[in-house]
Amino acid sequence: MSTRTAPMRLNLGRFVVYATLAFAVCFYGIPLLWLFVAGTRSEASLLSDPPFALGTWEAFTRTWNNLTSYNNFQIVSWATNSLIYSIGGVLLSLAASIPGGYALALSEFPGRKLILLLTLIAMITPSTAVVLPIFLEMNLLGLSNTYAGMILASGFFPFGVYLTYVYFSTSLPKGVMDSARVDGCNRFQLFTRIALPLARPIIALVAFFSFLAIWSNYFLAFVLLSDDKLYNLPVGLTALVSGSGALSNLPSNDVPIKKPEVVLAAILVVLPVLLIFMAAQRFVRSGMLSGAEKG
Amino acid sequence: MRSFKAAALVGGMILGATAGVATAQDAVTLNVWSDTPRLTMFDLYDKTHDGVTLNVTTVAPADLIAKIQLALQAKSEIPDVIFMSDIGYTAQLSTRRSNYLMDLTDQVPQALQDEFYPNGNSPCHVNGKLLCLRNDLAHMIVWYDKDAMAALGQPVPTTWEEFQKLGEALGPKGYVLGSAVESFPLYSYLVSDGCDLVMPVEGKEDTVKIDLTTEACLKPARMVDTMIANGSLSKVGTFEPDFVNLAKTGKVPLMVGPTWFGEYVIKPTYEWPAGKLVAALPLKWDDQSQPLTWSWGGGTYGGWKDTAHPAEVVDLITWMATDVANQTEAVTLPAHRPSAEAWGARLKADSYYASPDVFDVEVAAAAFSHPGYTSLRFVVSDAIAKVVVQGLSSGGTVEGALPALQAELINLAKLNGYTFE
Repeated sequence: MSTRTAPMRLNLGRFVVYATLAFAVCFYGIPLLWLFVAGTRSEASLLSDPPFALGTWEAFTRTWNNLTSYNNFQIVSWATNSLIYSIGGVLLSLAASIPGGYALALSEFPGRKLILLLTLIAMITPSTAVVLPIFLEMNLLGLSNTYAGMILASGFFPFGVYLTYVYFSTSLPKGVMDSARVDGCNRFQLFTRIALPLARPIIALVAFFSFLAIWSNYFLAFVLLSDDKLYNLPVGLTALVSGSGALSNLPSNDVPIKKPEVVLAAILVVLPVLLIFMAAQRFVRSGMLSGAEKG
Repeated sequence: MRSFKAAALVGGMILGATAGVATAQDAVTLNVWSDTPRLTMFDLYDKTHDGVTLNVTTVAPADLIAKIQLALQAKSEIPDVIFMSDIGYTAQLSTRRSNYLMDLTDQVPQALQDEFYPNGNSPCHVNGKLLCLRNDLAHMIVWYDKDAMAALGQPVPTTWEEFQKLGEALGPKGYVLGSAVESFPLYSYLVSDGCDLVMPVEGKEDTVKIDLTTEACLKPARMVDTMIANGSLSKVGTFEPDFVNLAKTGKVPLMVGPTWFGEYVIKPTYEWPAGKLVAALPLKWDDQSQPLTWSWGGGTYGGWKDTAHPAEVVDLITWMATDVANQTEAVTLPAHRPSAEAWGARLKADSYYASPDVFDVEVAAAAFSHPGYTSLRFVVSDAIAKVVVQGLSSGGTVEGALPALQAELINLAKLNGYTFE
């Protein structure tokens, strides 16, 4: 009797799980799907056709040309700037986070707990709260409106320090470190020859999160940059979309940036992150799981 | 001592000569913050003026105030000239804390100021000072489909009462004459009879009149409620797909809209075929001697009051707003009369319109522009959206929302340092 009822319970359980997953996929996936479908459609189609109607290749290329040819391909220079800020910021945040997290996890020194506490506070402080002081500081140093200033400000990534601290505290076997010490490794060699090679998953994870934060950072670039040649993609595209009135119901101009171009611009901002995530998901997943099981 | 004096004299002469040479050779560089559509106009100035170089930056219109406040705070990267796409920015950039705008009252000759259409520069006058020059006009007129109106056998209304009657005749048949849930059209209906919906009091600084209890406010509110009830004013916005589909399928034979609606909404989005669209003068109430028409848009140029190059800044602002050759190529109706007359030739020759008098109608309607279309430190249309439009979506009426709107506007006025009457 019990062997007959068990599969029933299992099936019901599975049904609930799959139904929940299906709901989640629909709820979160449909807007994304719409975004990619809408990128192929014309303005008229966006307003008149069903939400998921596919556009035409001709409409897509026209939209692409409108977006990319604007102001001598300025969008390309914005994308290049985004890449420069992201790569520079990621390298800087890695250079600070990995040794920082390692030192906090494996060393005992005066003020360690205070630094950990400050890292946590910095992590939970909204970025908007520190943007003005950062702006004034950069301005004082003459670094506002420069690549160096943006990279320097983007490299501040306390979450990376905390992630690395958790990783090294939980995933690095003490025995390995002790053995290396017995074999004659000094502190620097311990870090470079033992810890770093074992830390590839966390490096990938910190790099990924840092890249994500810098690539999509609007507010910092908005505050630090007033030269549109230095804009990153989010600020540049906002200036373009907002100026053209494509979304604000003030379309009284001849700028060829309308709703389809706005959709395509959104895809352009999302796509690199999506591609990087797909390429790096093995590292990202292993980094996220590292430390989950101690010992 | 004598040799020191001689050396100082020679040194001074060399310095003076060097400075003179530098002034003669170096072009003045002005930092300009523009929106996207104005870039070509600034570029033209740059190319046609040898002594001035423009360093033009595109700034998102919505970010302009915050960016200028940051620049003022940092005392660096402050633009010399800006384009303001929102008329409210003039008031917001002339406060004690964000005191950015240059007073142009005595910088722009009165004769030139007089060349603007009546009330064209109203958004630039703040507390008696001229703080900017208007680029383009955007007053409300009547747009209609000539063939559709003829087929329906309906006369084109000239008064709001006739407009309401037209709605009563066409609404039940599924026709729509505009939107009731978009802030600007709603704003324009409400002030059409002189309702004191935050109107500056002349001669009194930072003083506004807010009184929505008068018949001048109640009458238009009742008209909108009646037209919503019979379906002739839609409960979706004019840019929303449902409305666009109605307009495309001939269910919007007539509507009240700004001067740029024909070229930038009806033609490209509603896709009315050529030879149908006609413009008519703004509507008036039976008891008015002439219409009183609100506006929807119209940008302005302003300059930094502490710029190192005030003469060049004034020249650039003046040129942008009044140079006929420049404004002839502008996208929307220039606020400067001689420029507008040159600009209008293009519209007169456009065979898309069913009548060549669209430009003449727009210009004639400019004479009826509401003097209360001025710059405020808070956004009245946002308050209308928050109180009235939200009320309508939950089954309320415009008339019923007016007391709450009055309370909201009084609060906003107080918060922004205005005295209200």
